[in-house]
Amino acid sequence: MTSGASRTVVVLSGGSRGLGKAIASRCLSEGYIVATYSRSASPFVKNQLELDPSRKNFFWSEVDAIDPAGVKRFASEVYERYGQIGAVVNNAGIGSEGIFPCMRLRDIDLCVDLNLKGPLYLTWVCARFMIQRRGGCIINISSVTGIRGHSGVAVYSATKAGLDGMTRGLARELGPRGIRVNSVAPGYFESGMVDQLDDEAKARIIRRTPLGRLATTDDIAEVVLFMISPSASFITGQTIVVDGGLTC
Amino acid sequence: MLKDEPNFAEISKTVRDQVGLLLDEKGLPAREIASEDRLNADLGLTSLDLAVLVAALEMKLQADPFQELVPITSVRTVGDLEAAYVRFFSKAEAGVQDEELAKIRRRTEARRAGPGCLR
Repeated sequence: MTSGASRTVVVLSGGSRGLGKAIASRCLSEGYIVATYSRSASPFVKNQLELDPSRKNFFWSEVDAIDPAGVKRFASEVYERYGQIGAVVNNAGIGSEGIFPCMRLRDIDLCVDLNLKGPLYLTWVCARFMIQRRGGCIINISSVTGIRGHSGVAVYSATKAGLDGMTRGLARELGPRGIRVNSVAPGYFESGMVDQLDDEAKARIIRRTPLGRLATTDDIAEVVLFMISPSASFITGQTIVVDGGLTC
Repeated sequence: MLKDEPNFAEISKTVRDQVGLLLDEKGLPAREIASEDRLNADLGLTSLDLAVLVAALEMKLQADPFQELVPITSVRTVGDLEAAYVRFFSKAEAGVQDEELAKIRRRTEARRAGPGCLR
């Protein structure tokens, strides 16, 4: 990475905790400017804002990912402040578990809104800036549940498969403007979502994983970092599975 | 960015300047741009180029007529593009224009419902 005006700005949804926090931390340590939003400021966000009062490296706003006007205001402010948006990471999302016929409709709506419509809104507004700049990359954090069937997560799986569809469609559509679009699909990793599993379920997943452990958020963040970097400059329209071999 | 609501001449100049910039960026020869020029057939612009134009014009004019007012599929010529922004900034003829918009939408939907479209 270089310094000054040419530093790439990474717009990241949900960068306050969990995987988003890991991605934000790794991007900052590699010299990227990170602009992120979430519904509330976590201790990580508060600390970053204190460390960087001039917002030279880190920018955060309180935004609801499913409010298109709020997302548009956020992206416009980032563009005005830094003059470009070089990468978008659609990370914000929620888990949704339950036997499908018994699920509450409002939980279905919430999962679709946050996991699918939220990324579509952010990508829509950022793509309008990126196509003028003739370059950039978009990364959708999808999931192995969007690739393989898993009982009890049909809605979540549908949203993640939807993201992968968006990845492939946009890769073709925006490729001629030099914009790469890819998905990173984690398997089970140590997060709030996996914390809800009991010990037996976790042990079963680990047994079935060739590399013999759950992923860490850093395992996933490293792949995101690679996909943003110039090293991945000829990769687009792909879903990169990061699951220790669980789905192989 | 224009400070006040632009008049037709300003809209037209902004639209044509942006079209010219895009042609230049694509390495196409400089030419005088006329209202009746077809974006695709005459100027060689693709649908993605139109998206670039709309994004650039939103920044210049602070307006996006294609969200609510005008279907993007109705834009064929430079004049259509200019008219969309004129319409955005014009409130007086809203009633008449809504009828026109409804006609355009009906035609578009009829085209989409025809054979060969993806489902």
